[in-house]
Amino acid sequence: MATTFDKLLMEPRRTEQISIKPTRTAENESAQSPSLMLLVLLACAGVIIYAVFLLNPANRGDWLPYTLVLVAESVLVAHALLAMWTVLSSGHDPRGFAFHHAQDRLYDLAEIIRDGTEKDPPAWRMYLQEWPISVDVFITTYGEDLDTIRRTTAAAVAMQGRHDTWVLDDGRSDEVRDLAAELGARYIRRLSSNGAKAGNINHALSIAKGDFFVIFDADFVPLPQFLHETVPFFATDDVAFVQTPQVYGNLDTVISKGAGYMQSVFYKFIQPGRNRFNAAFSVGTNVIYRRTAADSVGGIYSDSKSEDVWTSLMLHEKGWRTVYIPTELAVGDTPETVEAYTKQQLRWATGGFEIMLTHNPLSPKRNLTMDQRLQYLVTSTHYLTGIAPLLLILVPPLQIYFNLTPMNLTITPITWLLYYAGFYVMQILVAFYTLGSFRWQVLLLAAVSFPIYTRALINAIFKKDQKWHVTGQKGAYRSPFAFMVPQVLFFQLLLITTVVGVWKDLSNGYPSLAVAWNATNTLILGGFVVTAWREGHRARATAKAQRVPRRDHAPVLATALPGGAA
Amino acid sequence: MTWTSRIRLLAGMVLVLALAAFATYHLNQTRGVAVSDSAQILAKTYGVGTPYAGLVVDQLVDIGDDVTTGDPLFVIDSATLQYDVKNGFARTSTEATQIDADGRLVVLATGDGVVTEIASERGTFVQSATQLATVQRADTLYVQAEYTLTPKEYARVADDATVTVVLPNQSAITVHVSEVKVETVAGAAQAVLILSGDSLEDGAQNGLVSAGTPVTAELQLENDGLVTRTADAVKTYVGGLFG
Repeated sequence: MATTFDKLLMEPRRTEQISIKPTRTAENESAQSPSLMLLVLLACAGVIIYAVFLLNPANRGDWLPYTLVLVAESVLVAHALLAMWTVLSSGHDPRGFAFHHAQDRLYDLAEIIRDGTEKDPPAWRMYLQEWPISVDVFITTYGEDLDTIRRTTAAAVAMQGRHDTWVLDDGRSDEVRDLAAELGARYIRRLSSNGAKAGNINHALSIAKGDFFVIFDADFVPLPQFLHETVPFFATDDVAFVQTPQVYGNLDTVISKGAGYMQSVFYKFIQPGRNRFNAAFSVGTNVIYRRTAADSVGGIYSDSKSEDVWTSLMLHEKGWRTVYIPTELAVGDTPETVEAYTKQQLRWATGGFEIMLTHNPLSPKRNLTMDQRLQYLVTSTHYLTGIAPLLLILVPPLQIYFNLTPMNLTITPITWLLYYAGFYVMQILVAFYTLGSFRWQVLLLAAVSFPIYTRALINAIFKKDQKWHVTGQKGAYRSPFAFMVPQVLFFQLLLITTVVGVWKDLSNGYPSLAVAWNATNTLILGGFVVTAWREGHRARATAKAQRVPRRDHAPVLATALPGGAA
Repeated sequence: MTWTSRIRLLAGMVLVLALAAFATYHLNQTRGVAVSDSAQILAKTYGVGTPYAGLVVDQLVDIGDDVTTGDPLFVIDSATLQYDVKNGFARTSTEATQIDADGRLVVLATGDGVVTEIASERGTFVQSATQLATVQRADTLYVQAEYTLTPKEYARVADDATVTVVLPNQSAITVHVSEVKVETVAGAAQAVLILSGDSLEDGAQNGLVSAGTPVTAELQLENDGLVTRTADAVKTYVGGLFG
């Protein structure tokens, strides 16, 4: 069997041979498909027809629900159009001649043979433009469990190409220190904990002095070829960072499936599309930075919980180029619980809204290209699409209780349904085609997350930190319901409204669309409540199982003796 | 969950329940009311006519004048009448006409009311059976209101249902249904209701209560259900609490 080194020797150096090779990689193949083009075109037509239908003054109903619908749908429609535009741009391969040339010459074969390290790829020194380079790999930890850190650190140490691995421990655990020593990684613990993750990395940057640095979250296990696939991009001097996707290995609960697949459109199509706009942004893990680029903007941006997007924005304003490759190079975990999901979405959404409120990308003060302005506008307003369901959920109750109708429906429900399907069904079709599947969990989460995004918007406006009313130390059982009070209340309201709506329709003697909608919304929210209840039930059972041996063991033994029959 | 968050959740649920209860109460109130598509105040009128052709030589009233039964309205000089008088065909006096000393026809008011229209001014030559004026009878105001009702709503219209009539100045007066005409168009009942009541006093509300005024008529439907009974019980209870 050929080792990695054998491959290095035997495979021809592609940039030194005259050959015709495909300019596109397999990863983005579906973005090039003519069928996708057609689907996107049809979806665009659907979006526009739907928008015209909504805006037609002849269809306007009562002003309150009409305004709610119009605001919500405008945000959704605008983002759908921009997202499809970005998807259409995603077939571009960022790897040019410079990349392939640099990748071919990344290692010095003679040196490897001289040192006798043919069987030890992590020891191979990497070269860019004939100069040796040094790479630091940072693993940021904050109280994660030891097995997770061990897996990540071991994989990081074993990556191909010479590099130093550092464990940046904000959890201040001696066990992690010993673990780092055992695995051959360096260990940094800082005295303060200000600036959270960004502060942690900046502190490490004051100690490590490599030309490039990689960031992994504690739960992202890198593949050996991570550096091999990313470092050659830096042969071009203006590249600030290379970002790779987050791939999840734990898609087994409703929450993690929903959260994970929600991300996959972003990592498979949106980010590659943003490459074309030179606006791909860092997501804080699985990323390699050029040290000088980070230094030019004063290190990682530490005034926000979304340090990754802000740092990217600062780099783009400085004129740096950024690269995103959709190649899977590290596998990690996506939130599995309502608590983790809520906290993650709240952090991301707050970061987005902060840009929208304090750093308008359209302002002439920003040194950005038009492409970048548009894409950062999308980033900063993206989570408004998450608030839209709140407005839409309120419309059927308004109609049921107060007879306020959003549209003046002189048309039949079938015609209305066709307009509606033109937008939503086409969006689902595009998603289905691009991802190869459709997950109801994504729709579920997208529809019930509005309290998180609303809270994020409020927090961003008033610049306050979210406080949670929870107790118990890390790892102990915490009810998911502590994090979803608004969803429970909305479920209650919609349930009552559905019952009232059915009563109203029965006594009126004719069915109404509002009740059908309201019942659907009730089911969706109910699905989320059931999901959370199951999660809580499971977590409670686990917590009990862990507690039993410690507390109840001795008495059980003592009483078991006399009652021998049992 | 901490006790604080449990209490917050509970308080939220109570609040949502109260909100939904209030909204349901509101819905039940609106369900008990049907609003007219079109409604206006009308009055009964009579036309003043002449049995003889001739020249209107005197016009004794103008538009807006109050008249009582027997008041002279017009004086007509008619050759046909004089011929009839000479031959003894004409009666000297009826409820509607009389012949004055000069042998001219005097047209009288046959009922109390207000002159609303004059068709033949002084000097006009009128044919026999011509309408000379229109008089709106006193105290005959009524409201005609058109409704589109579902069959179930139509079933809930009581015989002597109460109707709130909202005048253009947003003040309301209460009347009752006196007559219902209905036909069915596309599965819905197109009902025309005649409403009457003592409060329809001509000239009230700065003259807004008069024939021709457009109004909105809110018909109280029979609304006896769980929600109504519950709401009534709560009202009685709260009323008892606060005297």
